[in-house]
Amino acid sequence: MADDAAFRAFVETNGAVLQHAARLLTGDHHRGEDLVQTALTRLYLKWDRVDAPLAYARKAMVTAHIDSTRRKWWGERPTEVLPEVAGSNEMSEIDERDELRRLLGGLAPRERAVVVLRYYCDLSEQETAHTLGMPVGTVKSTCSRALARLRVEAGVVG
Amino acid sequence: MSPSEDQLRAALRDGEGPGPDANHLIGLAVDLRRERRVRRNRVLGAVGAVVVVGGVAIGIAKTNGINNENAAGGMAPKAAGSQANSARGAATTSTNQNDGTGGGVGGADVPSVAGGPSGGSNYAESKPPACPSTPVRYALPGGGGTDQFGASSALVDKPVSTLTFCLYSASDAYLGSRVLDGAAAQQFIDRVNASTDKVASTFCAEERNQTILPVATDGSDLTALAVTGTCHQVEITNGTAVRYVPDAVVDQVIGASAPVTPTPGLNDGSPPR
Repeated sequence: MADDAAFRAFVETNGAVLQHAARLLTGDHHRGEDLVQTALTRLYLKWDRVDAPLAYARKAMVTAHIDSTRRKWWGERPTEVLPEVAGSNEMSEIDERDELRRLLGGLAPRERAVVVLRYYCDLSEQETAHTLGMPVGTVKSTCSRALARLRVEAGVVG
Repeated sequence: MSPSEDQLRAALRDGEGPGPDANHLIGLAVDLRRERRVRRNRVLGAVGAVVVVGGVAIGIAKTNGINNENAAGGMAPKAAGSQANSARGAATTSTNQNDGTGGGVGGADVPSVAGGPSGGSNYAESKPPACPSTPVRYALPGGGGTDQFGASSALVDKPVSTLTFCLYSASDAYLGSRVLDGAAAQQFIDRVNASTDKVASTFCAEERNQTILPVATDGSDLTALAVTGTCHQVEITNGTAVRYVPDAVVDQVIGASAPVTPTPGLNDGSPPR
């Protein structure tokens, strides 16, 4: 296929960021890989028709993630004990970064998506709203609520 | 700990690893595309099969329907022809030939009539009466004629549902019949009843020998009408009432007319008016 080279170049450039964002969204290393794989496969199938591949991949990823959390057989179950974040075992010491990432897993899927898109992917509020398909005001309020919750949780832990 | 936005960013960026393998993704996408294509082809195949089977079934049903219609359209003339044959005994030529179109009844030597027995009718269906072996004839009192002896009364005093035109040759041999039913039958009677034509001054030999057998809408047989021909004029009578109409009025119903040869100076007994 003629566009395979362009797709490969895109994956080399943006694959790592997308995969890490997927891990942050899912809170799980393997599920993050599955999520980015799903999003990038969809992107490949529509490569000829997509004008902004990165935006499409982000949107596909977030949509697939939020969609998956709606399905009970696939979604998360609330628990008092937050699951271990993959990779954290490699660290001998739990520092603030690990703690924040652990707390991120306690947010609702949509809140987590807003935080990841805003603070990891560095999207503006408008871009985040467009990616998530929600009003800018909702992005602001969701982000504010998520940060407040993180601060409270971090304060309790700290 | 109360994380700032910078701390949050740093925490989120921590642990970034290598990206996914593009070739693996392409392989997955190609497989997925193939799988979708196979699924789509299966669905299309199933839909196509349903359409084909449905089409064949509809075709068979329609063919059967047409055959049934043909059978129904063909049976009626044969039945009527049989009645005609039985009515006239062993006489004359074949009258059963029918092409099965138009719903006409009777002989092949007379074209079909629109609005025959299989035509639309707003009246109760009734079986056309069998034609007599010889034409009905009436001796009009005093020679008959317009305005004489109740001649102006109605030819048929009930609404009709069916008119059977029995056709005979000049030698009274039965030729066949035509059936006019529904509104067309009533229109014919209305047209004849409304005629104020007087008997023509020129007379011809009576070579038209026809009988009309009316059936009322309630199914009862009414008095037969005798139809005789003069020059371009037809006399229709029930024995008392009489009407004269242009022969085309009858001919357009039966589709053809027996040849009429003018015979000047000859009359049938009625004085010219």
